[in-house]
Amino acid sequence: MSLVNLANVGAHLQNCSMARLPLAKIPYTKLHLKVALGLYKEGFIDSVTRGSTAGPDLKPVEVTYDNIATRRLWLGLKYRNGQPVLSKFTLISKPNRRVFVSVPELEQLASGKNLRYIPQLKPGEIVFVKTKDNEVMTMIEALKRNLECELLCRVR
Amino acid sequence: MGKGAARFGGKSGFLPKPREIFKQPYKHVVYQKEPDTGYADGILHPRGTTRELIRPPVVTPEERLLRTARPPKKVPGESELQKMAAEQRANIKQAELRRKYLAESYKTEVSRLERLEAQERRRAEEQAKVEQAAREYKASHAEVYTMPTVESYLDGPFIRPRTEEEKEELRLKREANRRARELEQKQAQAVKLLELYNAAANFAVTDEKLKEMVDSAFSDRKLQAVKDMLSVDLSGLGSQPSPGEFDKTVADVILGTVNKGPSLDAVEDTLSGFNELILETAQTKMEEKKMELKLKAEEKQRQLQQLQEEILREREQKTEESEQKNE
Repeated sequence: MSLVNLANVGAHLQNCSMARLPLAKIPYTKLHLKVALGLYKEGFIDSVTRGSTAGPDLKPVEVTYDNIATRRLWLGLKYRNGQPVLSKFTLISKPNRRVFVSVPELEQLASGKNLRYIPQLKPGEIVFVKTKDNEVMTMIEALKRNLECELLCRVR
Repeated sequence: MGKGAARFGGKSGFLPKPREIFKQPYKHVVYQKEPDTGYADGILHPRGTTRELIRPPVVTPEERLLRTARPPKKVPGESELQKMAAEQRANIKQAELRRKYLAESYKTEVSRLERLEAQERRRAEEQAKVEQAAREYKASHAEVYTMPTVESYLDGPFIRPRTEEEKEELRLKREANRRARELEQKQAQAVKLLELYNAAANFAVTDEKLKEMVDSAFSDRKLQAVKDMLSVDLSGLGSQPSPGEFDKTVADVILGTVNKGPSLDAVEDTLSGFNELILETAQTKMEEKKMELKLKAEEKQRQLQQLQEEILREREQKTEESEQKNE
């Protein structure tokens, strides 16, 4: 289900960007937090805050099994010259078609070529990958670390 | 698999894999000796075999050349060659050429293999370098110092685990909920069972009772009731209960009856001794009231008697006074 949820998050972020909203809330899970931090690191968003369905927390709130259902991550969206910085967020791996790649295949994709059915990357496009240690990072970082991985999503 | 080009997916032009010139190793290599291989622990190996790994014997190109094209024991001189027949001379010449070309081909093969080895070594070194760089990869200071503190939530458990007290509290809560639900179900069942039990009093279990019920169902009064019911305005149906139903329901609620029998509450009160307690209390109260009334009546009687005595005394006094005056 995690990829389905990630796809929903991607669609939600796109919708929020199109509606020019300042904040977007997404479910509070480890994968979403890792992807959100990746987006922050790459400059697609300007803040990552924990919060509830009502809004970002003003004081830190402990996450328990009793309040996990209402916990959310609040992301601050960026706009430049009236245009959203994050305009496209799509999955590469689908729940029924996971894409695992070796290091040479990763090199091929990073060098601007098509890989299997994955179209080549556009300028400024970032691919998030998940390694075997369940770490989420960008494709370039995975290449530097020489890691095989699963391609999660592409963002631009 | 198929035959011919079908073996290669219908594509032609595939050449067979080149035959290896050196089937055995052509040079000595220092191997790490692997002891005790080929059989699992505790499994004996057949007699005449060994658990040690036997590597194929090394045949150097020179040895191979000696085996396949050994030079002649006696090399004929020029004068001897001239004496030989032309065919024999050609054979000797051809044998020399073959020997020469074979030696050259071995040399070429050795250089090719060495080139391949060098390539492989270089590739392994490069790979090792990349792996070393990957091992030494560290996030830049910019990344480390600009990440939000929310990242620290990934280190520990994502959700705080419940404490023992909380677990116990949750367990008790769940058990209480379960028991409440079960009680509700059992009560509903009991109410239905009692309704059925009370209704069973009117069931036709004998022929006489059946006949009686059929007669009453088709009596003139019943038929008139049916006619009245059919003449009722349908729009009002369902919105309000009929006066008869309403009265019956009110009576059931007040009297605690269902289907003219005792309701579940009444049965429960009786079984739990509540009704008995009420009865005892009522009797005690009644006795107390009676006693109180009796005492009051006695007091009244006493007061009345006192009053009478006083009146009599006054009369006697008056009579005495009047007698004294007359005297």
